[in-house]
Amino acid sequence: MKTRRNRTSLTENCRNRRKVLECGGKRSATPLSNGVRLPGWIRAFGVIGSLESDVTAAALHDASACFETFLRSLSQCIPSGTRLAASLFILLLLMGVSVIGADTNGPPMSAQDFFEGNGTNTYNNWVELTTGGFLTHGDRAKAESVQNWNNGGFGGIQDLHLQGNGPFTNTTVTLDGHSIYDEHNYDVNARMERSGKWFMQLHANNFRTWSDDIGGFYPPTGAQYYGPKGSSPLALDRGEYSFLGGVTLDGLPSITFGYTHSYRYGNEDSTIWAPVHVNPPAATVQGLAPSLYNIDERVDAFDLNAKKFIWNTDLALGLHYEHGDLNNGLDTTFYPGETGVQYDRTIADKNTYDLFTATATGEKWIKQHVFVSAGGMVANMDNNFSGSQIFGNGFGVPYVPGMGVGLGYYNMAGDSHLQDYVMDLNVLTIPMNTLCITPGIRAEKESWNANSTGIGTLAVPAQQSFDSQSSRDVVDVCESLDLRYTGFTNWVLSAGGRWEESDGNLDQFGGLSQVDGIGAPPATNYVDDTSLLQKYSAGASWYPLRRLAFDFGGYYKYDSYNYSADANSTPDGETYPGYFSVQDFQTFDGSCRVTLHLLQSLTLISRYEYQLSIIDTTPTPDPAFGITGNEIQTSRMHSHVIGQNVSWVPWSRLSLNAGFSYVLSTTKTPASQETAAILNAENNYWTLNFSPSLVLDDKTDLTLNYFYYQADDYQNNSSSGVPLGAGSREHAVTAVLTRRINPRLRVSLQYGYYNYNDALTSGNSNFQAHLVMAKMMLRF
Amino acid sequence: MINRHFKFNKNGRRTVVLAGATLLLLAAISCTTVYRTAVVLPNYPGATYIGSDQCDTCHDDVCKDFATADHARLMARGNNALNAGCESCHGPCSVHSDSGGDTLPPYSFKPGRESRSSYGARLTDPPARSQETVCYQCHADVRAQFELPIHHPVPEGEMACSDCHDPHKGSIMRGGGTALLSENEMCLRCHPAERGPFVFEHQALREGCTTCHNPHGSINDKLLVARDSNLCLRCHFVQNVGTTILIGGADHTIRLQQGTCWTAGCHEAVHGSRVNPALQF
Repeated sequence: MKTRRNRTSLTENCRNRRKVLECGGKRSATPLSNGVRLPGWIRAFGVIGSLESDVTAAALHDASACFETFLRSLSQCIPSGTRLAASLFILLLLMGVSVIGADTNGPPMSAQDFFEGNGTNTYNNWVELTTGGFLTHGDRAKAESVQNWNNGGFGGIQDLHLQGNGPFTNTTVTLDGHSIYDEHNYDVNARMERSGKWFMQLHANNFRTWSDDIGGFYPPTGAQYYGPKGSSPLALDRGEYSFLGGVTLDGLPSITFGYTHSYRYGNEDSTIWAPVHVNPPAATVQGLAPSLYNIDERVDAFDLNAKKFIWNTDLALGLHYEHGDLNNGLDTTFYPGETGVQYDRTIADKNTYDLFTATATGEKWIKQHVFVSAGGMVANMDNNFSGSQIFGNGFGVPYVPGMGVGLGYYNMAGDSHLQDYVMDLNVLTIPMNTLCITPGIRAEKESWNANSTGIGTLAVPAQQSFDSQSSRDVVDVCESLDLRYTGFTNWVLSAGGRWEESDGNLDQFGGLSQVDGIGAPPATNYVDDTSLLQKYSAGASWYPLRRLAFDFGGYYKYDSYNYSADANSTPDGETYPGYFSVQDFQTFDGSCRVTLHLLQSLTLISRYEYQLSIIDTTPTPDPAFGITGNEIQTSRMHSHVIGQNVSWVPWSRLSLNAGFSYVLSTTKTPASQETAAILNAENNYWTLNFSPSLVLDDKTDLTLNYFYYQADDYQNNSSSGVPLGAGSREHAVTAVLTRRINPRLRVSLQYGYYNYNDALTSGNSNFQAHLVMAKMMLRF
Repeated sequence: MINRHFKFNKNGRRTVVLAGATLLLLAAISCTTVYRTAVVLPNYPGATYIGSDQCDTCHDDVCKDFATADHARLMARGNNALNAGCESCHGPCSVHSDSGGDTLPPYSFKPGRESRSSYGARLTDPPARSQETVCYQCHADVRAQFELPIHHPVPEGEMACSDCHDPHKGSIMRGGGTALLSENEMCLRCHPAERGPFVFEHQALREGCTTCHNPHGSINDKLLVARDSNLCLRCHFVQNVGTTILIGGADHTIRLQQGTCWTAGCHEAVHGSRVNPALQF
């Protein structure tokens, strides 16, 4: 009876409206199945209690029809501007009411249900196909660089997972991967194992990143400089092929063997910018023309590891051998586009190395209160390298006397050797249930030496062979102590300290700095150095309420380096660190975070951090240059970081996530007071995220994202130097519509719009981009 | 006569239409009935926090070592801190526990969940199950760094936070401190060309790669903490002698106007040189 009364009141209500508005609504003749509940906003619209399903259908359509006709009629009788406002007001009212009356009493749904649909554990295999396109307008290279998508269409397997029984007894096989054509993005991982016996795994992947080889923009002339390949995007692939296998038999040591071949291949932009004449009559030179890296790196690594739990101790031994073949280079065009002046420079840098390390570690819990871990490592590394820096008309050309204006070299070859010994010991003790003390110590001895020979060149047809040697020995000891106390209810206090002392020496001799008496003499430096690094930290977490938490923390870090130069032959003292004796790095950092669950559906997380870093330098007195031995503050860096996250479920079908971050960061050096060419380095920026997600119906979700980023640190000081501050802004909007057609099939459609503006290049790096992507996942 | 009809300008009209359309959409969908509810992980309906002690029942191997983890500093005694610990990152686990493990925790990072990555696309919001989503809840500043134009490819799914950080055991950094590996070693695994030893080293690397690079993301190219000469001048002091600017005793007055210290044919070998003591190449 209660139900019927509700229905009556609702339909009568609608009929009354129809009379008033002189329009009608349709009633559904098809009863809904049992279990369907009335939408929240209708239930809250003066209707109390639950309705039976067939009644609900009628009421639902009546209500919807009434609402439609109401709005339609409203639009006919109210002036347009007011009509919009009135419509919005009514809609807001309805939505507010619906929020209040939202039905949250449905059956609980697990996170798996939400993201994968029902039957999460029923279907263990799936394949997700994708296709779409990324279309750019403006600076394509920048768009691809920032968004990591290749311009144009793409398609392939977004996600693949297969699992089942293997070909051998009691074995299982899994296959995971993805393959996106024309994105150069591939990944496949195949694993076969017999639980508790053995396993083997094959893995291969490749992904590509893009970069924009755009250089300095010179505002007075409006000139924009690009690298040797122009404005085309530079692509760099990174990937690996690997095998991992092992035996894990009970009672025997588990042994694993792995082989990995990794690589990087392609081109990448560089921040090394070559000179151009920006004002030919005055011959003003500024470094604005970018160069590009040629990268070809291949590394083969072999690992053999053994583990055994014996005497209540986890013991592990590991051997690692790595062979690297690095063949990199840098291409630079000097004075590009300037007739009779332009020339190219090719830097070749080849290096092959063999690295061998052996490690042994042990971990043991002693009577539940003491945990001890200890380890040792021995490493040996041998490098063989060669290279050249050749000027010419074109890249990769042989040495031609007379080209270029600066020092060059060819036939450079050399080698270096490194030995490294490390041991550590960490102990975690729990003397009381509320106190945890963790002291640790680490000691390292490192020795290396290196040498090179070659032929140095100058623009004039002059050559001179050079050689160089260096060596270093250093012993480094680091101690640490961490405390954690939980004796106060709902509090945890922590403190820590770290001290690191080192004692070493560095000898440097020779090098290419002079040809035919032009240039600085080769180095002869013998420097002893000691350092003391200290870090003290403290923190507290307080949970005054279940819904409220505070975290406070901070640290003070003081690193002091002392140099004693027995000999420094460089006349102008330019060789670092020959011209100063002490350098101190100090950092003060404090942060706090507040986590507030204001409502069960509303969480706020706020964070603030302040950091101040200071570098003080004590120069070596040099009366010839007027340098006294007084300490100088060579830089002061401070930053404020503010972050705020909000997540809210205002309605049972709507979730809102928002994040905001603001960073105010400045680096000051005395240089900005000496010359207008150097401004204080500002690294201020802020970002904003907003992401509502809406459950449209039982099978469909809509997720929207908005992202905003801005850095406004550009200052045009081109009259004095090269303007380099970042000035950029980005808007990004994406929408993802996901529909679970049935438990086996899920489809989604995604659209993204990206708008990027850059002040540093006066808009030459601006882009707009559209991303359209469709995905279909089949589970089986 | 007073005109009572207020008018919208073009932008205002667009805004109102957009807002109206949104509200209409919400109103329209509210006319349908659903069993599902919106979820903001790690919370979801029906699941409650049970405390880390419960996790120890089955995951004793992880829980035991977690005592050594930096994140263990979040764990306090008392009912108010019940959700600080395992469930801070994995979400409320009552359903997981009651089901005997069949139902996974909200953040379980197992294969087959929502893709860990978007495989190349930098979405404005990471997929809900991607690992960094959990970390971003508390480390909002790091999220902002990864959203900057220059960043390591974590948002693209090619890297994960756990590649460099260990949330379950020991220091949050996989290297550094009293660990066997040095902190720089985390970077050199993927960037072997900067490993050296060089004939002429750059001593700044003793202080660490992070002296000059922000590993998460930066507004500057190459993840630099500063894009101009200030990057170098933080350590290499400037001396003003009359109208001459000396750095290391050498006249840099004109050079400073031509760009940064490592451009225009100057100190390009910033990670170390095999040829030149002043790291010119």
